[in-house]
Amino acid sequence: MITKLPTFVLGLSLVLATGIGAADPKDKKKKINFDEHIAPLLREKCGNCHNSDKKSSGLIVTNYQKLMEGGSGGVAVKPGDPDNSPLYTTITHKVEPFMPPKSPKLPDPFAATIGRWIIEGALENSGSKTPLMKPKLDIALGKITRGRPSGPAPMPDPSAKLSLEPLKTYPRANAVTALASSPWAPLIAVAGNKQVLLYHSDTMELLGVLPFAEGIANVLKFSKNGSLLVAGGGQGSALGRVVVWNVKTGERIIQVGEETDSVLAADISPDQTLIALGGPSKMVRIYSTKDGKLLNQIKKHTDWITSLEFSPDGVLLSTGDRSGGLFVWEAFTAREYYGLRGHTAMITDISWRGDSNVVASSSEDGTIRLWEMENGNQIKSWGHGAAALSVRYAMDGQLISAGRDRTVKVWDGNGGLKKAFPAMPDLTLKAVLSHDSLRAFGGDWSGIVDVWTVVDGKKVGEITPNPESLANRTTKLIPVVKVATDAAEASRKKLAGVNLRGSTLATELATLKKLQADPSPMLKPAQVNQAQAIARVTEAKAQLAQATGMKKMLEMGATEKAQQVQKLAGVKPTDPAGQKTAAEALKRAQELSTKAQADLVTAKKRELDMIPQVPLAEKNLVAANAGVTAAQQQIQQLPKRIEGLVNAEKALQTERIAVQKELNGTETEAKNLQGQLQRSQEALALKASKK
Amino acid sequence: MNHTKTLAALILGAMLLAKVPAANTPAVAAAPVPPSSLPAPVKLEILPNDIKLLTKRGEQRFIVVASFADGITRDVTSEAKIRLTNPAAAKIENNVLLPLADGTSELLAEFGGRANISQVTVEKAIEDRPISFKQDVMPIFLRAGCNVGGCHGAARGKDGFRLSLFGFDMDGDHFRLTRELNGRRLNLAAPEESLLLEKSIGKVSHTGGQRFASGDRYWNSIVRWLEGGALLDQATVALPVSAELFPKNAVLDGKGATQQMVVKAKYSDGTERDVTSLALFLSSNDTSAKVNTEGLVTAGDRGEAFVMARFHTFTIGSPYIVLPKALQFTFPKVPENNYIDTLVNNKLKKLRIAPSELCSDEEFLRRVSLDITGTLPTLEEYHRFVNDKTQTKREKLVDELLGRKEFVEMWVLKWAELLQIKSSNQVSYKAMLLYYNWLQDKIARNIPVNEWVQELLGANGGTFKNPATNYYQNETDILKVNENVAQVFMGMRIQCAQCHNHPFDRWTMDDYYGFMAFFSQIGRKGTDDPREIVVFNSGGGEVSHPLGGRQMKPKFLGGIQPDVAGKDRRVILGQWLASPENPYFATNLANIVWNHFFGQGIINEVDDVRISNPASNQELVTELGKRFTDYKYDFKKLVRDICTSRTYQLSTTPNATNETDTRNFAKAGVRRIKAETMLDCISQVTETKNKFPGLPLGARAVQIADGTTSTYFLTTFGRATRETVCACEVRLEPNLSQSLHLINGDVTGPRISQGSLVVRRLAEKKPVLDIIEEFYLRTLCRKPTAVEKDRLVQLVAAEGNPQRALEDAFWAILNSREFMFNH
Repeated sequence: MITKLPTFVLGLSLVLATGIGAADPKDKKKKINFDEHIAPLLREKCGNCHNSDKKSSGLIVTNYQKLMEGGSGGVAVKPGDPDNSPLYTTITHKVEPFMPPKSPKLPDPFAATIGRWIIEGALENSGSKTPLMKPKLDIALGKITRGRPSGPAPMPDPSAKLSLEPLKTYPRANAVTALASSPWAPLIAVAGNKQVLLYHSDTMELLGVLPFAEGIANVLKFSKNGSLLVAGGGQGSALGRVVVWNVKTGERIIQVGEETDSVLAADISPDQTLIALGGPSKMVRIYSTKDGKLLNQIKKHTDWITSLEFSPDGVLLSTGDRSGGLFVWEAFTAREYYGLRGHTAMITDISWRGDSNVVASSSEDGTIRLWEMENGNQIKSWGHGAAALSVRYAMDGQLISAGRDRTVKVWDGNGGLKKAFPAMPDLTLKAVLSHDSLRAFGGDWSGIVDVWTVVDGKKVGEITPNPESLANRTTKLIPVVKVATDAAEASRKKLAGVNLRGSTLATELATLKKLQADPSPMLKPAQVNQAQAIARVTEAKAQLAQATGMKKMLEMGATEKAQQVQKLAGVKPTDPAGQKTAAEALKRAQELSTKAQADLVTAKKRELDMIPQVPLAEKNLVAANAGVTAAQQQIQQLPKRIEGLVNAEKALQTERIAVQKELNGTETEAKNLQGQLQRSQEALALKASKK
Repeated sequence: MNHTKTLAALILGAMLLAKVPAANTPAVAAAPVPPSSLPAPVKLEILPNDIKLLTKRGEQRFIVVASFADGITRDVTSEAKIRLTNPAAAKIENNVLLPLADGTSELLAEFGGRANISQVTVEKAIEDRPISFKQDVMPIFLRAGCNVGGCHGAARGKDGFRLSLFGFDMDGDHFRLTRELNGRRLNLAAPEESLLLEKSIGKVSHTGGQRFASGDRYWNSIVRWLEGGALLDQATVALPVSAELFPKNAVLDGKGATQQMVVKAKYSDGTERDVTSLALFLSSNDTSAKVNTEGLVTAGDRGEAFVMARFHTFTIGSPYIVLPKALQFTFPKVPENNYIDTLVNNKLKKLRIAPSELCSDEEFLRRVSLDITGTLPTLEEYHRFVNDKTQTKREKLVDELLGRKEFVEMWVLKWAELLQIKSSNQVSYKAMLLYYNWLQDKIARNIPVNEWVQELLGANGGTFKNPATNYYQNETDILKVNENVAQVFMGMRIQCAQCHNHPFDRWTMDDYYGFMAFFSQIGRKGTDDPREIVVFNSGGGEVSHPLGGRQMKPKFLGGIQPDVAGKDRRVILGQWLASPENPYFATNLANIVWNHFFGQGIINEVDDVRISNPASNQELVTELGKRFTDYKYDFKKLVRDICTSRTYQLSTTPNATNETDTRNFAKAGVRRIKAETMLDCISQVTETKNKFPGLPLGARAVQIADGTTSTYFLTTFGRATRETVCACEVRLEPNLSQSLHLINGDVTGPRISQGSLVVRRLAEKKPVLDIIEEFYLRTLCRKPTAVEKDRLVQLVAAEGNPQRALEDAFWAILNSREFMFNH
């Protein structure tokens, strides 16, 4: 039966399954009917024996028509007359055989509901007037792509606001019963208890919690275009069902299967028209997704169906069972195509290569085998290292397997070992590669999912099938976000430092390069300096010569004046006038001599002053000459310095890239975490507001 | 022949064996007396005594049992006054002691003027005991019936889930529960949603229905185990080493009387636990004593029952006797010839059963002749014995018969059956014959059984040179050799333990393979003569345990691990097996002998000794074994004890008290004569001869050496094929072929003519009456009654042809049940 998430029906049947009988007061007018109220009860309590496979005493209670036909003991239900309906009388222990056998009487509400149903006429569905809403499904053939979707790969849509709150956080995780990787998107699905969790394969952020009230999912599969997620599972010996969600919206769009035991194997065909399932009933059942009708049943298996998968081209279906039986069928007719003989113990997984020409199987017998579809022969067989519990083809043709040796291994298409990841704490049950084959995910018996990068085999994190409550996760996220933000800030500062150093370096280099092209600015000042020094030496010398000449001139003049004085002093005229004139001449000569003497002193002093000027100037000239030589040497060294700087610049560039990368990492991390925190907080707020 | 018209009536009239119970048995006055005030008990017991409570999960159920002068026991736990001297240390809830604080106390009980004390020690009263898979979880599967053969204990499991039968492979069970189908059976996230539990409590469909309830102690134990991560215990975890069942025996007074059972187990770390809630209770006889799952026994009809508890690998039992309410009974004063009578009567006294009367001389003569020599007494023997007036004539007769060669032949036949002497592909005819002669020689020379059994088990050499080696040639599969030795010489069927621990006995797979290790070094090689094989000690070869491949050291069944280094393991085994150190050897042989003379063993079947099949009289079988050992395994002395006991000489006629009893030898049994002896007797009385392959004309059927030799008669009457060592090989059940063969076959009519006894007697002009009397004496060892005489004489007269009439009469006697049976 397919229902488009009829939450009210689902809710009601859950109430009935647990509380039973106490029908909703609003429902008082509505009569009890088989499909909604009775079938879930009978399936749970009686379905293990009275199902279409076991048919204990020829009675089938899981199907309305069959139930009304009765069993080998005659009619089981007489509408309107519970006391003459063996179904009612045996469960109320009014008539033997008491049912269920060897068990205490069923709780009264159970019997009461059955009784009321019979009294009300044992209706099939709600009055037969309002048949159950047929689902309108957007999954018909033609509208869907079988391979890579044209737009962005399907991921949970943030606007769809998938629940981030687990239904319950358990003291410990259950074994990882199922794991799936979207073929096109960084999306991983993990089975938890009564829920399926969607994680981002890169950020490992929990993107959504899909409730699976049926029980535990034993198998998870994405549709070939990655838009749907299929889960098969249920409650052991009570209920088995396959549920399909829309990955983008998290909406439960299909549910099929009326199994009386948990579904162990399930898949949806690439064109999304068929759903195949199997389990302890040993039957493979193929349903139409269009109307939920059972199209085909495969009865060939002699043991529990443990694995099945449609080929990527949708033509074939391969199924495996608990005792090693492995078959390939035509998907649409359920006719046998090949029996693949070789495995000696339980088939644990089946996976098709992308081209549909090869199917891989893993088994408790320890082997992984590849089978070709030309003649149905085994083309390869190798050991995982212990019983192989899972094998999956990645999109690029590599295989990943998990086994009882607690190890997940990646193989090339020929079974050559490419990578073995570090052993996990307990048996590894499931393993998948991310859509880009960069990351591997392995789930173990103790409930851990390790995440590794394939290239180096290093563990990069964990995701869990048992997440903590949203509030707890949010609280724990805050310090983590702080650390990440701080780290990003530190990276940013580091980068700024690097950039600063870079710009200094660049300026320097430019200057040097300019000098190399035109070194004059370096040489000219020295040359000017030199010329000036030369000029100064010439000048000093000239001035010294002048001074010396002057001095010599004055010496001669002074000597002459002195001689004049001596001569005059010797002229002794008798006449007064003469005397007077002689005296006057002498006096004048004496005055002139004194003056000449004084001038000579000055000139001598002047010469003395000038004498050191020359060596001084000459010394300056030597320095100026050295300056020119130095400048010339510097010019010669320029290329070397430039080379040094270029190298330094290169080193800095590398450093910058590293720091930039670090920054990118820390920034992305911080951004992711901030985003996560924000989303968590929003989700929390939304939850609070709903309350 | 045309006998049919007249003879049906004749047979009925003459030979009816079904005797009615003697009308008056003065010693017995069985009249229920209404219960008046109870007499005071002679003994009051608190069981178990010396109670230890360890950790806060410690507990101990106790019972108070009063015994009365007449042997009756009564569970007075709820009626007795119970006190604890130190109420701070422990408390009592529903007759279960629970710890409060560390310390000691005395538990006092008083009833009917008697009192008793039990010590109570409480240790670690506030500590919890960690949950253990092997200690706490595994026993639940046994108790709840999960791992029985019809359910998950079946070799292929049930509905896809297998547990080892009765939990013999705990590690394997842990694997199957936790990791065989990952994610299906357990849910560690939500333990109570585990399929294991939902099935067990019937929450979801379960073919086995509800086994226990949500929230009960079993459910809680499993949930605790799951919450802890469903761990497997360390290899060093303490496991039970013994279990004890209380009370050890009980005599219940009337329908409806109840008795609670308590089971206490000791563990390898020296601790003790009350495992009453983990043990599985069974009764061998629900009609007399029904036991419920909680160990409460409720008396039913008069009778005996063996109430057993199964826990871990142990099966332990207590014998119960249920008597009619307030039965009044006085045991008659009867003479006791020897210890056998004393021990049999002791048991009869407990059961309030009086033995039948002594049988007549005629009955004794026929019975003892058939049993000891396999022949009927001759006319001369009859007259000599009947006319003997001495007190000890019966003892004299036994001694005389024991000296006859036919006695040897009887037991050679018996042992040839047990040793499966027959020619086959492995054993040539010559080797078989030599083997038979070897056995005959041992028994004829009355070699003590232990000696020749030791020689047999340790035999090495050619099958011609040392014919005893044929024992290992007869059966070359050492699994079978192992089982045969245990079954023949110890009376144990250990076959079960080949694949799993014995469900109803103490034998584990370790015992099985440890015992088998004695036979792992049998070497064989050919000789020049293709018919002869040399059996030798190869000195190499070991046995590995099928679970885990451990190499098993040779260990005596229920005994020690001897030093076998460098020795012939079979010699070591023989020295232990046929010696007083082996507690089963002498009792087993004594029981086989007893079975021969009474038609059933004290432990029955004789080769099915096990805890759950207790002896009907343990003291008797123990004493017989002890005597046999003391007689240095001289077989004749044991036979003499048995045949001279009054118990053997009792009449087949029942009295009111022993009418329904079948197991306590209160009356003689009526037994069909086995095939070979029957053919010999027919030959003897008709004076005809047999010809068997390899034997001269006139040889007796008991002398046939080869198990493969048979005749239509022997096969029809259930001659052992010697295919197996089972005591059931000799078939004594009547069937239609036997009747038809006696009526129409060649052993009666033709032989009567062939032997021409009638013709000769008529020729001797013997009167018809004398001839008829001779028929009776020859075949039935008694004179015909007046009625029989009258009717037969009339018939002969009416027929006209005396020869034909007398032959018909002879034929009728041979076809009578009185002739076919030993009684």
